[in-house]
Amino acid sequence: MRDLVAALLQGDKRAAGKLISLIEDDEPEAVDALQRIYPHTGRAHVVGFTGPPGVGKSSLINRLVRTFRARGKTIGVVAVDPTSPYTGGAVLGDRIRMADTGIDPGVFIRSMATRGHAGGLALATFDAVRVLDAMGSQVVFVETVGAGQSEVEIATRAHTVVVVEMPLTGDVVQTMKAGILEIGDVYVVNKVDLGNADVLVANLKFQLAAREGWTPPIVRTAALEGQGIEELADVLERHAIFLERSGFRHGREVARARQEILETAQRLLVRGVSEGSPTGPLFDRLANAVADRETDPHAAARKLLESHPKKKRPR
Amino acid sequence: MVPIPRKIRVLIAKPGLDGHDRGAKVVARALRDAGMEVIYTGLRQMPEDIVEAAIQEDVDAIGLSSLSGAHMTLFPEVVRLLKKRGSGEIVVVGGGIIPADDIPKLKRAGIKAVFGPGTPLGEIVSFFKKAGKGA
Amino acid sequence: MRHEDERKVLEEELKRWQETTLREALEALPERRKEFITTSGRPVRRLYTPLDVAGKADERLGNPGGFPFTRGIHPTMYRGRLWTMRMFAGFGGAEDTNRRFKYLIAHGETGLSVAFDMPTLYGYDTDEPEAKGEFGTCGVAVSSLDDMRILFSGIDVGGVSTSMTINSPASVIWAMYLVMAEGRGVPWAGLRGTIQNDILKEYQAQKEWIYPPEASMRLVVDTFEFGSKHVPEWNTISISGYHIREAGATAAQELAFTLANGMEYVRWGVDRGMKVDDFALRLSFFFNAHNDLFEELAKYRAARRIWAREMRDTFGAKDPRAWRLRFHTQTAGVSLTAQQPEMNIVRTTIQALAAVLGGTQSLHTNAFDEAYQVPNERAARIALRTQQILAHESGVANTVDPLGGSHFLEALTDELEAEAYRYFDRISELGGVIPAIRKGFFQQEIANSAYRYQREVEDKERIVVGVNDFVVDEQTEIEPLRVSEASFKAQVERLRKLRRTRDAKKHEQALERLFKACESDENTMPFILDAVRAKATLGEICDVMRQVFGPWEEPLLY
Repeated sequence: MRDLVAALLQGDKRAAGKLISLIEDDEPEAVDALQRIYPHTGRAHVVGFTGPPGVGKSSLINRLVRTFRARGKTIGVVAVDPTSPYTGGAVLGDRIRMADTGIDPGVFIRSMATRGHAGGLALATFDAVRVLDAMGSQVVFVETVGAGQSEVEIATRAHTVVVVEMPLTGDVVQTMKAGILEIGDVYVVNKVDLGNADVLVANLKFQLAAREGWTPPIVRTAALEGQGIEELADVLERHAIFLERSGFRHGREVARARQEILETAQRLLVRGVSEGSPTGPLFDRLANAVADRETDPHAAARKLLESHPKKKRPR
Repeated sequence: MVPIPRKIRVLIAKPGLDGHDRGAKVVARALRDAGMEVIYTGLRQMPEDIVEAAIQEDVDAIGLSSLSGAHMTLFPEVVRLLKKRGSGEIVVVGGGIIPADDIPKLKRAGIKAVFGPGTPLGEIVSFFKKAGKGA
Repeated sequence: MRHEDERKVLEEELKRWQETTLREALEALPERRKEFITTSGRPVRRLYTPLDVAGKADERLGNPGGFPFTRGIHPTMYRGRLWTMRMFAGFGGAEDTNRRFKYLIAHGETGLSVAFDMPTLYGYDTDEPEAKGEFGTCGVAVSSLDDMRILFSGIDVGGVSTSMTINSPASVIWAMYLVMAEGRGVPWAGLRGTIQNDILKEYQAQKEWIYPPEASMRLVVDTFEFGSKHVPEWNTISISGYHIREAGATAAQELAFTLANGMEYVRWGVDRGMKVDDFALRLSFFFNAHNDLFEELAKYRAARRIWAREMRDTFGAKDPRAWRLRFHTQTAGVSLTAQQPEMNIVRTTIQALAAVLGGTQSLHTNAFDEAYQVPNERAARIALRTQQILAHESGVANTVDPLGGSHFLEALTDELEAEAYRYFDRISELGGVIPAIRKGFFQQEIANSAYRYQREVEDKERIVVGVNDFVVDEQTEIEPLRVSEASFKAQVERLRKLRRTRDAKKHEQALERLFKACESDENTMPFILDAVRAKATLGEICDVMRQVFGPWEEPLLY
């Protein structure tokens, strides 16, 4: 274990791969490793991407990776794909679109499946981000599956949130998903070569307002053709500088820490009362007591919290 | 909570120029349906690309598919590069149009199994399951 | 009406039969399965009667050699001339394949068919890094005019017809063939043959592309235009369902996607300003012959009927010859098994029978060892003999469309035709063939069918003899075919010498002119021909195009 973390800090990709697996598999060793890794993180600029499936997020990231590489940055990518709820398996194909940056030593790409992450996919994703951060990736892209609630949830933990949309073809009124206008720091209209981009851009412009002194820019791209990528990279860099200078970067880190502490606490509690744990039997007894109307759920919950072993090493 | 068994991760790749991806895709789906995580890297991959992806994705096994006859050059090269990178524990298997007398040579070069046309999917799935457990 | 009365009588008789004879029989012996399906998963009913065939026979069938050509494109079919026995061959260097051609001709083959190796198919020279390990393994390497000269040395290129399975770099390989013939004093006007040149099915199924779809289509139309003026007897395209089927498609998908592609080529030709009658005669087709005899037969017949109607009514072709769908057939490589490989001879025979009963113009029969390798000489000869037995011993070539009128076959033909039209509608809804490629429509449909088929085999809903039933444990003995190291060295040496001894200035200028032509909208063929004459290699010419046209990235699907 010590070897893996030490190797990671030397920039070893094999160690990074193995550590992310430990996190994904929820192995106890991961907690120790992450503790040791943590002081070495906080340097990378983390950019989260959200947008409906098929909008071209992978292709955009592929182009951005090349652009940032040309600007001398090292890059990490964490790409999340859905796990089949029926079989528990997944086909992870985002690498295909990023294949041409595959053997560049300054690039690390990791595909993650959503799995049934008990502790929350967002936690695991950002633990993986930290591994890449500690390895020395200067920019880390997080690509989510789509634009559902949980994906938005993940993307918004990044420093910079990129919302990707594409113009529709034909005579349709394009409406934005509720909430999508509030979360983005940068809006990308991709596939401008296909549909009527002007309408979508105008629509966005009309609805987007400045927040905390930053008006979200709208960038037109055609990722497959490489159009607009330089501009998007500039915007991302500008936002990083803005966050730094305004102090908002720290604000976002605190907000994320809050979420992560809460979620971790929740996880620990769930684990603490689960089957086979010291308080497992108590949990069972309380459940029966509630069912038999001997006590109520609220009181039972208090009892559980009080009994939670305090000195046990967190896992 | 019952501990979730460790996920088996497999990389399916098409080395070389061959574009016939029917077999690779069918195998990828079968492994997915057996509960594994399959990283599909697409067409026209050089051995270097495949090895780099396998290390970053920390897979248990790599499945190589080639129908163009370039297997004798490309498959052993993947094994060699894995060893060079200190990831020799990753199991490498091959499939495609492979002449019978190439099979022992591939096995000597470190290819753990060779699946020709007509191999039952069940056989391939259970091989990867075992490979995943052993890793 | 008399017709109505007849129908009623038939319906009543059928009902009576079902209630008496059939019911008793089923009570005594239930059927083997709940559902009987074709190779493509299409349900097959117990019995077909005239009630299953709608419409008037003269409109559906016509007569052989007449619209809509359902029964065949020639009035006398094989009574006049047998199909062309054309065996796909190629391995190693040009010398190796030249020897195989001569061997096949000596054993009665009537047309040549060239298989190229992977680097050639992707427009790379043998000595480029991308070509590593791929020299001559699944076809012959042709990197330059010199290779092409050797490949056809001692073969009467004015007399034989030559088919070349080449797609993305088709115009370059064709130019090499044309310059080779020119050098031997054979006029282009008399050259007969085919370049596959079907790039659409590459994006859909075989995945051997170089450039993006639009640039590729432009190159294809360039060959149509050039061919119609200068090489009038040459088929400038072979619109291929074969690879779509091999990638996993059903018979209906093969039919529908192939014809949709065919119509897309016609549209591009018309958009270029050509008259449909001027180039439609040189469009040829290429279908698969899979195991299910009647389904395959129905597919060929439906294809002819659809094409005739679309060419006449949609595209307004006036020349009846432009309505005729001419096609080559290859037996299904994907049906060959590594287990008990001799059984492949039987499979291939049934498939070849389907092609002949279906009225094919030429035929390749696979060799039994092809689940292992490119065929050895003996296996290739047995495959050729299979065709000769069908032609001369089976009697099936003695009459035109011998199975026409079978209730089952006619109903199946109608069904496949209707399914093809449903696919045409879906493709239009997606915006046409190329937008549907960009959306991954064909790729997804094909992958789904492939997986479903494999699951059926896994679950034993489908028996594959020697694979999931009737299995034996035996060591397979197949005489290996090896590409020699010497061939590779000779090829690399030849390339080096060519680059050393050619006129460097002439070479450079030719490539520069080609670059400019690619950037403009001029027809590229004359510039490619000049580059070939200036001894530019395949890799060099394709590099020029790669620079201008850029690469293609496949939509992400699995």
